[in-house]
Amino acid sequence: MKIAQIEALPGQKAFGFIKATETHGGFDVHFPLHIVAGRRPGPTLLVVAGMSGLEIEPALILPQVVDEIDPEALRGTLLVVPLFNTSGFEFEQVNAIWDDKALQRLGRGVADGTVSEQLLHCFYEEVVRRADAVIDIRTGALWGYFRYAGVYAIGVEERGRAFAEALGLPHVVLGAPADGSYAWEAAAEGKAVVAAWIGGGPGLRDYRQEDMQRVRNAVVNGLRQLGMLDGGLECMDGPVMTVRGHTWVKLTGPRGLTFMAKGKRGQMVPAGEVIGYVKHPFTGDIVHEFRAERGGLMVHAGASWPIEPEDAILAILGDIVT
Amino acid sequence: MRIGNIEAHAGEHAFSFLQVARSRSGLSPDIPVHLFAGGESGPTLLVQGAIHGSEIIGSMAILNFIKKLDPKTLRGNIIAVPAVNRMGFELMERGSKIDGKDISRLFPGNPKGSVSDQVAYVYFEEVIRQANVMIDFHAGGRTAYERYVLFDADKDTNDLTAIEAKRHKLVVAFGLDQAAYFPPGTFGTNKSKEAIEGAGVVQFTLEFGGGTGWFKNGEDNVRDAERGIWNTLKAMRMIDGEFEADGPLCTVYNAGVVLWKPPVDGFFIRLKEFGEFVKAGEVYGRLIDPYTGKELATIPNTKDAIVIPSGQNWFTIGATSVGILGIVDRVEDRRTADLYVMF
Repeated sequence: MKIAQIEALPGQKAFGFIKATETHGGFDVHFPLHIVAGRRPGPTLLVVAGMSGLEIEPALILPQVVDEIDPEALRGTLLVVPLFNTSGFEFEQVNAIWDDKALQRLGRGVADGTVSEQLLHCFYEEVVRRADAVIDIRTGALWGYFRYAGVYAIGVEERGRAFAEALGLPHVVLGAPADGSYAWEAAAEGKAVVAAWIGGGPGLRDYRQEDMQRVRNAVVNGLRQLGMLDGGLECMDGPVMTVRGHTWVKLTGPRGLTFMAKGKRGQMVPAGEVIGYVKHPFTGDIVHEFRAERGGLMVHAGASWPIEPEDAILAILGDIVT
Repeated sequence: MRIGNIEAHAGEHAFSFLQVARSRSGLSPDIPVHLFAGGESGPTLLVQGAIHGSEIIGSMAILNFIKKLDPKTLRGNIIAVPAVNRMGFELMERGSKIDGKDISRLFPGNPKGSVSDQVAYVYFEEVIRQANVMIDFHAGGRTAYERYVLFDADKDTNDLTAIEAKRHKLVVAFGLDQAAYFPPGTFGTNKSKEAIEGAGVVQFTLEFGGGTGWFKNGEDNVRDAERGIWNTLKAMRMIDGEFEADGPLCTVYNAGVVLWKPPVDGFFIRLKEFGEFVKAGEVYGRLIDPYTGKELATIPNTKDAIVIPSGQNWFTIGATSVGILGIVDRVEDRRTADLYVMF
């Protein structure tokens, strides 16, 4: 397979940066790409991480996964972008530095838009279109901590669900809402797409190795589900539970120090139950409570850092499907 | 008791914002201050958090502490400041966005300086000078994790000053199993600490918790930080009660080994764990290429020492140390030590 100047013949690996455009000052607006071209034909799996410049943990393990995969044993092609947002990473921020755009919100991009919109356009046309399946790896950046596979509420759900359930994460959440991402767009095209939320800073000291293993397993399991590699499911979290998400809790009401009920992760919560609260940052008074609008299984809840960005997901509840 | 525009009478609790300065656009980084005036006379304890705005474990402990504190049963006064650097707290940044300065390094401040200089001046004159003891909570921000009491090295270990002797006791009384001091000159001269000590205040610092351990240990650290405040009150005889601690022993480290990142940059990976003994020359951490995983550099340890609980876990690091190691200076036994101080 050849993408821009990066070419890997069957049985080979290749790595390089694909340049979309340049900034006013002549800096490259680009993204890194590994190509692992299988000896035999088959589907194409795209694995992407680091759309946010602060979601960088997967880049610790994805190059090792590329090293691990033997192209002689691979059917089809594996494409890996270990850390898409290179400028956000450089300057330790979520958005691209060049135009302050959130790359995760730019969909398919715009051919003659801002430099980040051009970047997404290039990425979508050159890379995403070639993929049959996509694993978009997200993390909680500095704030949140996650372990679930999300399937968007668009496209062919059964395809995304089967793929998500094969990745080995403890929960699969169906019905993930539109988020403006390239991954949503890919799902809308009918590709098998999973937003795999794994790790985040609040668990980094204690679960880094585990989470790196989860990332690795998700990629390898994904390859196996697609028939690109031989072997069975590698899972460290027991049986997968699938949930149809109905509530994504974000900040509402007064701001302050936000605490969600970490102990309710993986538990059934009745409607009306308090699942978190906001404490006044200087008096300690409880100024707001989060209650479950509907009962359900709490897939995600805390322990996010108590001061959250405005659009952070604080909790997810859903109905058990299997 | 009165601090600036805030006043509490005996047996009362008062809360307001201490007026400190105004920025060019009128932003006011006024400081939230709780005063608890005890029902009986006694010393004054200042407990403060988030002078580095993103280091908020102590802030949460202070909020829990003040909810339980009854000033009527207190001997002396408590000044509780959950977030000294309110602008940094708002933006989760170490310093102040207004002028880029680190307030903790500005004492005794300057009434004619930048906004942060003015903040430091008012805070020093109005708050710090009133305290006998000052607990200054720091933490690993969002990128590191720490757990030890940090205090200034003694000037002459054979002839402790009154402040040093009191500090020795309070550091142990706080209740953590580890404490550390930096030998003079490790990080240059800290004029703020000199000013605080010059004002007759017994000051010590907590390096306590941090974002990268929040999921597993966040609640533990908030609880134990609050426990340490109560222990300090007991040691100052402001309340009665038994000390509670991690255990009977407190290991005190001479933290003389500070490791810095090499000139190249990439993903930082710490290889050594807290409490681990590391020989000189052993690799403490690595820097790897974020796109290919190839090793760019290693960070060797420089001297046989033990890793103090202080470490970056996030992968990108700025102009900060990446490791602090030390040798055991002494082990204090709380079962036999005198932990009480008189003012």
